[in-house]
Amino acid sequence: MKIIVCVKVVPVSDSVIRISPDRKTIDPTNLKFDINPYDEYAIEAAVQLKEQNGGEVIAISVGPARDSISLKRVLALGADRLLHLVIDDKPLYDSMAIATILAEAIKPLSPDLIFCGKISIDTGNGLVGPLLARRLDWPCLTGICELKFKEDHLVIGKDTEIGRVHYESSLPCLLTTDKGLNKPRFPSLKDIMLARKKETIATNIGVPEQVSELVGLNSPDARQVGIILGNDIGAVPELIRRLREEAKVL
Amino acid sequence: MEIYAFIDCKNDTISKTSAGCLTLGRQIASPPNSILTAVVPQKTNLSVAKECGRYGADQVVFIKNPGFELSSPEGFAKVLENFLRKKQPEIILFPDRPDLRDSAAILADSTGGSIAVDCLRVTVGDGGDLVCRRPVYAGKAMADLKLTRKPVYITLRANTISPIIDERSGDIVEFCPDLIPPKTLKILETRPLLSKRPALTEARIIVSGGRGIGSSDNYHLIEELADTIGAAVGASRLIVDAGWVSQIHQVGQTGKTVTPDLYIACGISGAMQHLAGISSAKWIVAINNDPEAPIFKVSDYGIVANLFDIIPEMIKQLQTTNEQSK
Repeated sequence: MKIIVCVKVVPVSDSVIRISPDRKTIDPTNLKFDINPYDEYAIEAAVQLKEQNGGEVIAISVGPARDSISLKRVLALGADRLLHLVIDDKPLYDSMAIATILAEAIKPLSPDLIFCGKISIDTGNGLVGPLLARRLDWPCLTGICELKFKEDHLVIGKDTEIGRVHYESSLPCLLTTDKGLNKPRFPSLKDIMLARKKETIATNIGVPEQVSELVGLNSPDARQVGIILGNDIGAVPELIRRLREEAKVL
Repeated sequence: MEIYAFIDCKNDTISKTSAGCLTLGRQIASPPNSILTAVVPQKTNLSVAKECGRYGADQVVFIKNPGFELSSPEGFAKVLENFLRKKQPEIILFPDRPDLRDSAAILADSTGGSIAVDCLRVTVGDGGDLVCRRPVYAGKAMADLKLTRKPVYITLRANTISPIIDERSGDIVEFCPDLIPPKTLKILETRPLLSKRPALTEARIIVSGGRGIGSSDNYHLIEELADTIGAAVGASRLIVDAGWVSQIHQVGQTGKTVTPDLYIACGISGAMQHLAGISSAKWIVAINNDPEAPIFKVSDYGIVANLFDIIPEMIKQLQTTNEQSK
Protein backbone atom coordinates (compact mmCIF):
# COMPACT_ATOMS: atom_id res chain seq x y z
CA MET A 1 0.00 0.00 0.00
CA LYS A 2 1.39 3.38 -0.97
CA ILE A 3 0.38 6.04 1.53
CA ILE A 4 0.91 9.79 1.31
CA VAL A 5 0.87 12.01 4.39
CA CYS A 6 0.56 15.77 3.92
CA VAL A 7 2.37 17.66 6.66
CA LYS A 8 2.64 21.33 7.55
CA VAL A 9 5.10 23.09 9.84
CA VAL A 10 3.47 25.71 12.09
CA PRO A 11 4.36 27.85 15.12
CA VAL A 12 3.76 25.68 18.21
CA SER A 13 0.49 26.24 20.04
CA ASP A 14 1.95 28.15 23.00
CA SER A 15 3.54 30.76 20.69
CA VAL A 16 2.97 34.46 21.16
CA ILE A 17 2.02 35.76 17.71
CA ARG A 18 3.34 39.22 16.80
CA ILE A 19 2.25 40.86 13.58
CA SER A 20 5.04 42.36 11.43
CA PRO A 21 4.90 46.11 10.59
CA ASP A 22 3.85 45.30 7.01
CA ARG A 23 0.74 43.59 8.50
CA LYS A 24 1.09 40.77 5.96
CA THR A 25 3.31 38.39 7.92
CA ILE A 26 4.03 37.44 11.51
CA ASP A 27 7.33 38.14 13.21
CA PRO A 28 9.29 34.84 13.23
CA THR A 29 11.75 35.99 15.92
CA ASN A 30 11.61 33.72 18.97
CA LEU A 31 8.94 31.54 17.39
CA LYS A 32 9.30 27.78 17.81
CA PHE A 33 8.09 25.72 14.87
CA ASP A 34 6.98 22.11 14.76
CA ILE A 35 4.78 19.70 12.84
CA ASN A 36 1.11 20.70 13.01
CA PRO A 37 -0.38 18.65 15.91
CA TYR A 38 -3.20 17.16 13.81
CA ASP A 39 -0.66 15.99 11.21
CA GLU A 40 1.04 13.84 13.86
CA TYR A 41 -2.11 11.69 14.01
CA ALA A 42 -1.96 11.43 10.20
CA ILE A 43 1.67 10.26 10.27
CA GLU A 44 0.96 7.74 13.02
CA ALA A 45 -2.09 6.35 11.16
CA ALA A 46 -0.07 5.95 7.96
CA VAL A 47 2.87 4.30 9.72
CA GLN A 48 0.59 1.90 11.61
CA LEU A 49 -1.11 0.82 8.37
CA LYS A 50 2.27 0.27 6.75
CA GLU A 51 3.50 -1.76 9.70
CA GLN A 52 0.43 -3.99 9.47
CA ASN A 53 0.14 -4.35 5.72
CA GLY A 54 3.49 -3.40 4.21
CA GLY A 55 4.06 -0.66 1.68
CA GLU A 56 5.51 2.79 1.78
CA VAL A 57 4.77 6.09 3.55
CA ILE A 58 5.74 9.25 1.69
CA ALA A 59 5.47 12.58 3.51
CA ILE A 60 4.88 15.76 1.51
CA SER A 61 5.10 19.30 2.84
CA VAL A 62 4.64 22.73 1.26
CA GLY A 63 6.50 25.45 3.13
CA PRO A 64 9.53 27.70 3.40
CA ALA A 65 13.12 26.39 3.51
CA ARG A 66 13.41 26.77 7.29
CA ASP A 67 10.76 24.04 7.73
CA SER A 68 13.40 21.44 6.76
CA ILE A 69 14.63 21.28 10.37
CA SER A 70 11.19 20.47 11.81
CA LEU A 71 10.40 18.10 8.93
CA LYS A 72 13.22 15.74 9.92
CA ARG A 73 10.97 14.55 12.70
CA VAL A 74 8.48 13.20 10.14
CA LEU A 75 11.09 10.65 9.07
CA ALA A 76 11.93 9.77 12.68
CA LEU A 77 8.20 9.17 13.25
CA GLY A 78 8.26 6.50 10.56
CA ALA A 79 7.74 8.04 7.12
CA ASP A 80 10.05 6.39 4.54
CA ARG A 81 10.84 9.47 2.54
CA LEU A 82 10.07 13.16 2.43
CA LEU A 83 9.24 15.53 -0.38
CA HIS A 84 9.60 19.18 0.65
CA LEU A 85 8.08 21.62 -1.84
CA VAL A 86 9.84 24.84 -0.94
CA ILE A 87 8.03 28.17 -1.31
CA ASP A 88 8.87 31.76 -0.29
CA ASP A 89 8.72 32.53 3.40
CA LYS A 90 5.27 34.08 3.18
CA PRO A 91 2.32 32.38 4.81
CA LEU A 92 0.03 30.93 2.19
CA TYR A 93 -3.56 31.63 3.26
CA ASP A 94 -5.13 30.26 0.09
CA SER A 95 -6.01 26.58 0.58
CA MET A 96 -6.82 26.21 -3.11
CA ALA A 97 -3.26 27.16 -4.06
CA ILE A 98 -1.88 24.59 -1.59
CA ALA A 99 -4.23 21.92 -2.97
CA THR A 100 -3.05 22.73 -6.50
CA ILE A 101 0.59 22.26 -5.50
CA LEU A 102 -0.09 19.02 -3.63
CA ALA A 103 -2.29 17.52 -6.35
CA GLU A 104 0.39 18.10 -8.97
CA ALA A 105 3.05 16.48 -6.81
CA ILE A 106 0.89 13.55 -5.74
CA LYS A 107 -0.70 12.52 -9.07
CA PRO A 108 2.49 10.96 -10.53
CA LEU A 109 3.01 8.95 -7.33
CA SER A 110 -0.40 7.23 -7.71
CA PRO A 111 -0.94 6.42 -4.03
CA ASP A 112 -3.70 4.23 -2.56
CA LEU A 113 -4.44 6.42 0.42
CA ILE A 114 -3.77 10.01 1.54
CA PHE A 115 -3.81 11.35 5.08
CA CYS A 116 -3.88 15.01 6.09
CA GLY A 117 -4.36 16.57 9.53
CA LYS A 118 -7.94 17.82 10.08
CA ILE A 119 -6.84 21.44 10.28
CA SER A 120 -3.62 23.41 10.65
CA ILE A 121 -3.38 25.46 13.82
CA ASP A 122 -1.96 28.51 12.00
CA THR A 123 -4.35 29.47 9.19
CA GLY A 124 -7.08 27.25 10.63
CA ASN A 125 -8.96 26.58 7.40
CA GLY A 126 -9.12 22.79 7.35
CA LEU A 127 -9.77 22.87 3.61
CA VAL A 128 -6.69 21.34 2.00
CA GLY A 129 -7.88 17.75 2.57
CA PRO A 130 -11.30 18.06 0.91
CA LEU A 131 -9.89 20.30 -1.86
CA LEU A 132 -7.09 17.85 -2.63
CA ALA A 133 -9.62 15.00 -2.74
CA ARG A 134 -11.67 16.97 -5.24
CA ARG A 135 -8.67 17.66 -7.43
CA LEU A 136 -7.93 13.92 -7.51
CA ASP A 137 -11.63 13.08 -7.80
CA TRP A 138 -11.37 10.86 -4.71
CA PRO A 139 -13.86 10.39 -1.90
CA CYS A 140 -12.84 11.92 1.42
CA LEU A 141 -13.84 11.92 5.06
CA THR A 142 -12.66 14.66 7.38
CA GLY A 143 -11.86 14.61 11.10
CA ILE A 144 -11.78 10.83 11.53
CA CYS A 145 -11.21 9.34 14.98
CA GLU A 146 -11.26 5.57 14.30
CA LEU A 147 -9.64 3.55 11.53
CA LYS A 148 -9.29 -0.14 10.72
CA PHE A 149 -8.07 -1.82 7.56
CA LYS A 150 -9.93 -5.02 6.68
CA GLU A 151 -8.63 -7.03 3.72
CA ASP A 152 -9.49 -4.60 0.95
CA HIS A 153 -11.42 -1.80 2.59
CA LEU A 154 -11.27 0.68 5.46
CA VAL A 155 -13.67 1.00 8.36
CA ILE A 156 -13.70 4.60 9.52
CA GLY A 157 -15.24 6.23 12.58
CA LYS A 158 -16.11 9.91 12.69
CA ASP A 159 -17.85 12.08 15.28
CA THR A 160 -20.65 14.07 13.68
CA GLU A 161 -23.41 16.33 14.99
CA ILE A 162 -25.65 13.33 15.58
CA GLY A 163 -23.08 10.96 17.04
CA ARG A 164 -20.31 8.63 15.97
CA VAL A 165 -20.81 7.24 12.47
CA HIS A 166 -18.94 4.26 11.06
CA TYR A 167 -18.24 4.19 7.35
CA GLU A 168 -16.81 1.64 4.98
CA SER A 169 -14.64 2.92 2.17
CA SER A 170 -12.69 1.25 -0.59
CA LEU A 171 -9.35 2.62 -1.77
CA PRO A 172 -8.28 5.08 -2.92
CA CYS A 173 -9.57 7.68 -0.51
CA LEU A 174 -8.41 10.70 1.44
CA LEU A 175 -8.82 10.95 5.21
CA THR A 176 -8.15 13.87 7.54
CA THR A 177 -7.28 12.98 11.11
CA ASP A 178 -8.60 14.29 14.42
CA LYS A 179 -7.20 14.06 17.91
CA GLY A 180 -8.13 10.75 19.51
CA LEU A 181 -7.48 8.63 16.40
CA ASN A 182 -4.24 7.26 17.86
CA LYS A 183 -1.36 8.17 20.16
CA PRO A 184 1.56 9.48 18.10
CA ARG A 185 4.76 7.67 19.10
CA PHE A 186 7.89 9.22 20.54
CA PRO A 187 10.75 8.37 18.20
CA SER A 188 13.53 6.31 19.79
CA LEU A 189 17.18 7.20 19.36
CA LYS A 190 17.36 4.41 16.80
CA ASP A 191 14.43 5.91 14.87
CA ILE A 192 16.23 9.26 14.84
CA MET A 193 19.47 7.69 13.61
CA LEU A 194 17.65 5.71 10.93
CA ALA A 195 15.84 8.84 9.78
CA ARG A 196 19.15 10.42 8.79
CA LYS A 197 19.61 7.79 6.10
CA LYS A 198 16.15 8.29 4.63
CA GLU A 199 15.64 10.21 1.40
CA THR A 200 14.62 13.86 1.50
CA ILE A 201 14.01 15.76 -1.71
CA ALA A 202 13.60 19.52 -1.49
CA THR A 203 12.36 21.27 -4.64
CA ASN A 204 11.80 24.98 -5.10
CA ILE A 205 8.41 25.71 -6.57
CA GLY A 206 6.37 28.77 -7.50
CA VAL A 207 3.02 29.52 -5.90
CA PRO A 208 0.10 29.15 -8.31
CA GLU A 209 -2.59 31.79 -8.78
CA GLN A 210 -4.46 32.61 -5.58
CA VAL A 211 -8.18 33.33 -5.49
CA SER A 212 -8.06 35.14 -2.17
CA GLU A 213 -5.73 37.91 -1.19
CA LEU A 214 -4.51 38.77 2.30
CA VAL A 215 -5.39 42.43 2.84
CA GLY A 216 -3.79 42.49 6.28
CA LEU A 217 -3.43 40.95 9.70
CA ASN A 218 -4.83 42.62 12.80
CA SER A 219 -4.47 42.03 16.51
CA PRO A 220 -7.63 40.80 18.19
CA ASP A 221 -9.43 43.32 20.36
CA ALA A 222 -7.65 43.44 23.70
CA ARG A 223 -9.73 42.23 26.61
CA GLN A 224 -10.16 44.47 29.62
CA VAL A 225 -8.94 42.98 32.85
CA GLY A 226 -12.07 42.41 34.87
CA ILE A 227 -12.78 42.41 38.56
CA ILE A 228 -12.34 39.85 41.31
CA LEU A 229 -15.67 39.52 43.08
CA GLY A 230 -14.35 37.72 46.14
CA ASN A 231 -12.58 34.71 47.54
CA ASP A 232 -15.34 32.56 49.01
CA ILE A 233 -18.95 31.52 48.41
CA GLY A 234 -20.06 34.97 49.52
CA ALA A 235 -19.10 36.16 46.02
CA VAL A 236 -21.60 33.86 44.29
CA PRO A 237 -24.75 36.04 44.62
CA GLU A 238 -22.85 39.05 43.25
CA LEU A 239 -21.55 36.95 40.32
CA ILE A 240 -25.04 35.75 39.46
CA ARG A 241 -26.47 39.27 39.81
CA ARG A 242 -23.84 40.71 37.47
CA LEU A 243 -24.27 37.94 34.91
CA ARG A 244 -28.00 38.67 34.89
CA GLU A 245 -28.06 42.45 35.12
CA GLU A 246 -24.74 43.66 33.70
CA ALA A 247 -23.76 41.00 31.18
CA LYS A 248 -27.39 39.89 30.62
CA VAL A 249 -26.26 36.40 29.71
CA LEU A 250 -28.21 34.36 32.27
CA MET B 1 -26.83 40.06 -7.81
CA GLU B 2 -28.20 36.85 -6.41
CA ILE B 3 -27.31 35.66 -2.94
CA TYR B 4 -28.02 32.23 -1.49
CA ALA B 5 -27.95 31.38 2.19
CA PHE B 6 -27.97 27.81 3.41
CA ILE B 7 -30.26 27.36 6.41
CA ASP B 8 -29.70 25.02 9.31
CA CYS B 9 -32.84 23.99 11.21
CA LYS B 10 -33.55 22.33 14.51
CA ASN B 11 -37.05 21.52 15.74
CA ASP B 12 -38.68 23.60 13.01
CA THR B 13 -36.77 26.77 13.88
CA ILE B 14 -33.86 28.17 11.94
CA SER B 15 -30.58 28.33 13.84
CA LYS B 16 -29.31 31.68 15.07
CA THR B 17 -26.27 31.41 12.82
CA SER B 18 -28.49 30.74 9.81
CA ALA B 19 -30.56 33.81 10.66
CA GLY B 20 -27.20 35.62 10.95
CA CYS B 21 -26.37 34.45 7.41
CA LEU B 22 -29.61 36.01 6.14
CA THR B 23 -28.79 39.26 7.95
CA LEU B 24 -25.28 39.17 6.46
CA GLY B 25 -26.78 38.52 3.03
CA ARG B 26 -28.90 41.67 3.31
CA GLN B 27 -25.91 43.68 4.58
CA ILE B 28 -23.67 42.83 1.63
CA ALA B 29 -26.37 42.78 -1.06
CA SER B 30 -25.62 45.29 -3.75
CA PRO B 31 -27.88 46.74 -5.00
CA PRO B 32 -29.72 46.47 -1.67
CA ASN B 33 -32.82 44.96 -3.25
CA SER B 34 -30.90 42.02 -4.74
CA ILE B 35 -32.68 38.71 -4.32
CA LEU B 36 -31.74 36.71 -1.25
CA THR B 37 -32.73 33.06 -1.39
CA ALA B 38 -32.79 30.73 1.61
CA VAL B 39 -31.94 27.08 0.89
CA VAL B 40 -33.56 24.87 3.52
CA PRO B 41 -33.16 21.11 3.93
CA GLN B 42 -36.68 19.82 4.26
CA LYS B 43 -36.70 17.74 7.35
CA THR B 44 -38.62 20.62 8.83
CA ASN B 45 -42.06 22.13 8.64
CA LEU B 46 -42.72 24.47 5.72
CA SER B 47 -43.48 27.21 8.27
CA VAL B 48 -39.74 27.90 8.55
CA ALA B 49 -40.07 29.73 5.22
CA LYS B 50 -41.91 32.51 7.09
CA GLU B 51 -39.07 32.68 9.60
CA CYS B 52 -36.55 32.97 6.76
CA GLY B 53 -38.64 35.83 5.37
CA ARG B 54 -38.57 37.57 8.70
CA TYR B 55 -34.77 37.76 8.57
CA GLY B 56 -34.65 39.03 5.02
CA ALA B 57 -35.15 36.10 2.61
CA ASP B 58 -37.12 37.02 -0.51
CA GLN B 59 -37.59 33.42 -1.47
CA VAL B 60 -37.10 29.94 -0.11
CA VAL B 61 -36.02 26.71 -1.79
CA PHE B 62 -36.54 23.41 0.00
CA ILE B 63 -34.24 20.49 -0.53
CA LYS B 64 -36.10 17.21 -0.24
CA ASN B 65 -34.47 14.02 0.99
CA PRO B 66 -31.44 15.61 2.58
CA GLY B 67 -29.42 13.11 4.65
CA PHE B 68 -26.22 14.90 3.71
CA GLU B 69 -25.04 15.21 7.30
CA LEU B 70 -23.89 11.65 6.92
CA SER B 71 -22.75 11.90 3.34
CA SER B 72 -19.15 12.48 2.39
CA PRO B 73 -18.46 16.18 1.69
CA GLU B 74 -18.06 15.68 -2.05
CA GLY B 75 -21.38 13.82 -2.14
CA PHE B 76 -23.29 16.74 -0.69
CA ALA B 77 -21.27 19.21 -2.75
CA LYS B 78 -22.33 17.43 -5.97
CA VAL B 79 -25.96 17.71 -4.95
CA LEU B 80 -25.74 21.44 -4.37
CA GLU B 81 -23.54 21.97 -7.41
CA ASN B 82 -26.22 20.69 -9.80
CA PHE B 83 -28.64 23.09 -8.21
CA LEU B 84 -26.35 26.14 -8.05
CA ARG B 85 -25.15 25.72 -11.64
CA LYS B 86 -28.63 26.53 -12.84
CA LYS B 87 -28.91 29.58 -10.60
CA GLN B 88 -25.43 31.10 -10.87
CA PRO B 89 -25.51 33.14 -7.65
CA GLU B 90 -22.56 35.42 -6.90
CA ILE B 91 -22.52 34.83 -3.14
CA ILE B 92 -23.33 31.69 -1.19
CA LEU B 93 -23.43 31.85 2.62
CA PHE B 94 -23.28 28.91 5.04
CA PRO B 95 -23.35 28.63 8.83
CA ASP B 96 -19.89 27.35 9.75
CA ARG B 97 -20.08 23.66 10.64
CA PRO B 98 -17.40 21.08 9.81
CA ASP B 99 -19.48 19.19 7.23
CA LEU B 100 -20.79 22.35 5.56
CA ARG B 101 -17.29 23.87 5.53
CA ASP B 102 -15.92 20.85 3.64
CA SER B 103 -18.76 20.89 1.14
CA ALA B 104 -18.54 24.65 0.63
CA ALA B 105 -14.82 24.31 -0.20
CA ILE B 106 -15.45 21.59 -2.75
CA LEU B 107 -18.30 23.62 -4.26
CA ALA B 108 -16.11 26.72 -4.45
CA ASP B 109 -13.47 24.73 -6.30
CA SER B 110 -15.85 22.97 -8.67
CA THR B 111 -17.68 26.18 -9.60
CA GLY B 112 -14.43 28.11 -10.09
CA GLY B 113 -15.01 30.46 -7.17
CA SER B 114 -13.26 31.42 -3.95
CA ILE B 115 -13.90 30.75 -0.28
CA ALA B 116 -13.34 32.12 3.23
CA VAL B 117 -14.38 30.00 6.21
CA ASP B 118 -15.11 30.70 9.87
CA CYS B 119 -15.73 34.38 9.17
CA LEU B 120 -16.55 36.86 11.94
CA ARG B 121 -17.66 39.66 9.65
CA VAL B 122 -17.77 40.57 5.99
CA THR B 123 -17.52 44.00 4.42
CA VAL B 124 -17.72 45.28 0.87
CA GLY B 125 -14.29 46.66 -0.05
CA ASP B 126 -13.18 49.13 -2.70
CA GLY B 127 -14.12 47.85 -6.13
CA GLY B 128 -16.93 45.75 -4.71
CA ASP B 129 -14.85 42.74 -3.65
CA LEU B 130 -15.86 41.18 -0.36
CA VAL B 131 -13.38 41.36 2.51
CA CYS B 132 -13.80 38.67 5.16
CA ARG B 133 -12.37 38.90 8.65
CA ARG B 134 -11.47 35.53 10.15
CA PRO B 135 -9.34 34.34 13.06
CA VAL B 136 -5.91 32.81 12.41
CA TYR B 137 -3.59 31.22 14.96
CA ALA B 138 -6.81 30.29 16.80
CA GLY B 139 -7.66 33.95 17.36
CA LYS B 140 -4.21 35.28 18.25
CA ALA B 141 -4.53 37.35 15.06
CA MET B 142 -7.31 38.32 12.67
CA ALA B 143 -6.82 38.06 8.92
CA ASP B 144 -8.69 40.21 6.41
CA LEU B 145 -9.04 38.25 3.18
CA LYS B 146 -10.28 39.69 -0.09
CA LEU B 147 -12.11 37.16 -2.24
CA THR B 148 -11.29 38.02 -5.80
CA ARG B 149 -13.05 35.34 -7.76
CA LYS B 150 -16.79 34.76 -8.05
CA PRO B 151 -18.84 32.92 -6.98
CA VAL B 152 -17.86 33.67 -3.42
CA TYR B 153 -18.48 31.11 -0.68
CA ILE B 154 -18.46 32.22 2.94
CA THR B 155 -19.02 30.24 6.13
CA LEU B 156 -20.09 32.32 9.11
CA ARG B 157 -19.01 31.47 12.63
CA ALA B 158 -21.73 31.00 15.25
CA ASN B 159 -22.57 33.89 17.60
CA THR B 160 -20.92 36.58 15.48
CA ILE B 161 -23.63 38.41 13.53
CA SER B 162 -26.82 39.12 15.47
CA PRO B 163 -29.86 38.40 13.32
CA ILE B 164 -31.85 41.53 12.46
CA ILE B 165 -35.51 41.40 11.56
CA ASP B 166 -36.09 42.61 8.00
CA GLU B 167 -39.52 41.42 6.91
CA ARG B 168 -39.59 40.01 3.39
CA SER B 169 -41.98 37.64 1.69
CA GLY B 170 -40.06 34.37 2.06
CA ASP B 171 -42.06 32.83 -0.79
CA ILE B 172 -41.53 29.15 -1.36
CA VAL B 173 -40.41 29.01 -4.97
CA GLU B 174 -39.02 25.57 -5.48
CA PHE B 175 -38.66 22.05 -4.19
CA CYS B 176 -35.62 20.16 -5.33
CA PRO B 177 -36.94 16.66 -5.62
CA ASP B 178 -34.04 14.41 -6.44
CA LEU B 179 -31.22 15.60 -4.25
CA ILE B 180 -30.06 12.24 -3.01
CA PRO B 181 -26.30 12.38 -2.60
CA PRO B 182 -24.30 9.83 -4.56
CA LYS B 183 -23.06 7.12 -2.23
CA THR B 184 -19.30 7.17 -2.38
CA LEU B 185 -19.06 5.66 1.07
CA LYS B 186 -21.16 3.06 2.81
CA ILE B 187 -22.58 3.93 6.21
CA LEU B 188 -22.21 0.92 8.51
CA GLU B 189 -23.73 2.19 11.74
CA THR B 190 -24.53 5.31 13.71
CA ARG B 191 -24.16 5.56 17.45
CA PRO B 192 -26.29 8.53 18.45
CA LEU B 193 -24.97 10.98 21.00
CA LEU B 194 -26.68 10.55 24.33
CA SER B 195 -25.97 14.10 25.40
CA LYS B 196 -28.71 16.68 24.98
CA ARG B 197 -26.29 19.54 25.59
CA PRO B 198 -25.62 22.07 22.84
CA ALA B 199 -22.55 21.72 20.60
CA LEU B 200 -19.47 23.59 21.85
CA THR B 201 -19.02 25.69 18.74
CA GLU B 202 -22.65 26.81 18.74
CA ALA B 203 -23.33 27.10 22.46
CA ARG B 204 -24.41 30.41 23.97
CA ILE B 205 -22.93 29.39 27.33
CA ILE B 206 -20.01 27.05 28.01
CA VAL B 207 -18.89 25.69 31.38
CA SER B 208 -15.35 24.38 31.13
CA GLY B 209 -13.12 22.43 33.51
CA GLY B 210 -9.35 22.22 33.90
CA ARG B 211 -6.77 20.58 36.11
CA GLY B 212 -8.29 22.26 39.16
CA ILE B 213 -11.12 19.71 39.16
CA GLY B 214 -8.54 17.23 40.47
CA SER B 215 -9.71 14.04 38.76
CA SER B 216 -12.10 12.71 36.16
CA ASP B 217 -14.52 11.78 38.96
CA ASN B 218 -15.18 15.46 39.60
CA TYR B 219 -16.07 16.44 36.03
CA HIS B 220 -19.73 15.81 36.92
CA LEU B 221 -19.62 19.16 38.76
CA ILE B 222 -18.90 20.90 35.45
CA GLU B 223 -21.75 18.97 33.82
CA GLU B 224 -24.20 19.75 36.61
CA LEU B 225 -23.48 23.47 36.49
CA ALA B 226 -23.79 23.34 32.67
CA ASP B 227 -27.15 21.57 32.86
CA THR B 228 -28.47 24.09 35.38
CA ILE B 229 -28.02 26.88 32.82
CA GLY B 230 -28.42 24.93 29.55
CA ALA B 231 -24.74 25.20 28.68
CA ALA B 232 -22.26 23.08 26.73
CA VAL B 233 -19.33 21.50 28.58
CA GLY B 234 -15.69 22.20 27.73
CA ALA B 235 -12.28 21.09 28.92
CA SER B 236 -8.67 22.21 28.90
CA ARG B 237 -6.08 20.30 26.88
CA LEU B 238 -4.43 19.10 30.05
CA ILE B 239 -7.41 17.11 31.31
CA VAL B 240 -8.14 15.76 27.81
CA ASP B 241 -4.55 14.54 27.45
CA ALA B 242 -4.78 13.04 30.93
CA GLY B 243 -7.77 11.05 29.70
CA TRP B 244 -10.27 12.57 32.15
CA VAL B 245 -12.73 13.59 29.42
CA SER B 246 -13.20 12.97 25.70
CA GLN B 247 -11.29 15.13 23.24
CA ILE B 248 -14.57 16.30 21.68
CA HIS B 249 -14.82 18.73 24.63
CA GLN B 250 -11.37 20.31 24.25
CA VAL B 251 -11.33 24.10 23.92
CA GLY B 252 -8.25 25.94 22.59
CA GLN B 253 -5.90 26.08 19.66
CA THR B 254 -5.62 22.30 19.38
CA GLY B 255 -9.27 21.81 20.21
CA LYS B 256 -12.23 24.01 19.38
CA THR B 257 -12.18 27.77 19.12
CA VAL B 258 -15.38 28.98 20.70
CA THR B 259 -17.49 32.16 20.64
CA PRO B 260 -20.12 31.90 23.38
CA ASP B 261 -21.81 34.82 25.09
CA LEU B 262 -20.55 33.41 28.40
CA TYR B 263 -17.56 31.18 29.15
CA ILE B 264 -17.17 29.91 32.71
CA ALA B 265 -13.63 28.59 33.29
CA CYS B 266 -13.41 26.38 36.38
CA GLY B 267 -9.96 25.36 37.60
CA ILE B 268 -8.39 26.42 34.30
CA SER B 269 -5.15 28.36 34.72
CA GLY B 270 -5.27 29.74 31.16
CA ALA B 271 -2.45 28.46 28.96
CA MET B 272 -1.78 30.61 25.90
CA GLN B 273 -3.38 28.13 23.52
CA HIS B 274 -6.51 27.93 25.69
CA LEU B 275 -6.86 31.72 25.98
CA ALA B 276 -6.57 32.03 22.19
CA GLY B 277 -9.48 29.64 21.77
CA ILE B 278 -11.80 31.66 24.03
CA SER B 279 -10.66 35.17 23.09
CA SER B 280 -13.87 35.90 21.18
CA ALA B 281 -16.18 34.95 24.05
CA LYS B 282 -18.28 37.97 25.02
CA TRP B 283 -18.03 37.42 28.80
CA ILE B 284 -15.54 35.26 30.68
CA VAL B 285 -15.88 34.12 34.28
CA ALA B 286 -12.91 32.48 36.04
CA ILE B 287 -13.06 30.39 39.18
CA ASN B 288 -9.59 29.42 40.36
CA ASN B 289 -7.82 29.26 43.70
CA ASP B 290 -4.60 30.68 42.27
CA PRO B 291 -4.86 34.51 42.15
CA GLU B 292 -1.87 34.59 39.75
CA ALA B 293 -3.54 32.33 37.14
CA PRO B 294 -3.37 33.97 33.68
CA ILE B 295 -7.07 33.29 33.16
CA PHE B 296 -7.86 36.24 35.49
CA LYS B 297 -6.12 38.61 33.03
CA VAL B 298 -8.77 37.93 30.40
CA SER B 299 -11.83 37.31 32.56
CA ASP B 300 -14.54 39.87 33.22
CA TYR B 301 -15.48 38.42 36.60
CA GLY B 302 -13.30 36.28 38.82
CA ILE B 303 -13.65 34.41 42.06
CA VAL B 304 -10.39 33.38 43.73
CA ALA B 305 -11.54 30.32 45.64
CA ASN B 306 -11.84 26.58 45.66
CA LEU B 307 -14.13 25.50 42.84
CA PHE B 308 -15.50 22.65 45.02
CA ASP B 309 -17.07 25.34 47.23
CA ILE B 310 -18.12 27.73 44.47
CA ILE B 311 -19.67 25.43 41.87
CA PRO B 312 -22.14 23.65 44.23
CA GLU B 313 -23.13 27.05 45.63
CA MET B 314 -23.70 28.40 42.12
CA ILE B 315 -25.82 25.37 41.21
CA LYS B 316 -27.86 25.80 44.42
CA GLN B 317 -28.50 29.51 43.93
CA LEU B 318 -29.22 29.21 40.22
CA GLN B 319 -31.67 26.35 40.83
CA THR B 320 -33.45 28.34 43.53
CA THR B 321 -33.90 31.39 41.34
CA ASN B 322 -34.86 29.21 38.34
CA GLU B 323 -37.65 27.69 40.42
CA GLN B 324 -38.78 31.08 41.69
CA SER B 325 -39.09 32.42 38.17
CA LYS B 326 -41.23 29.44 37.08
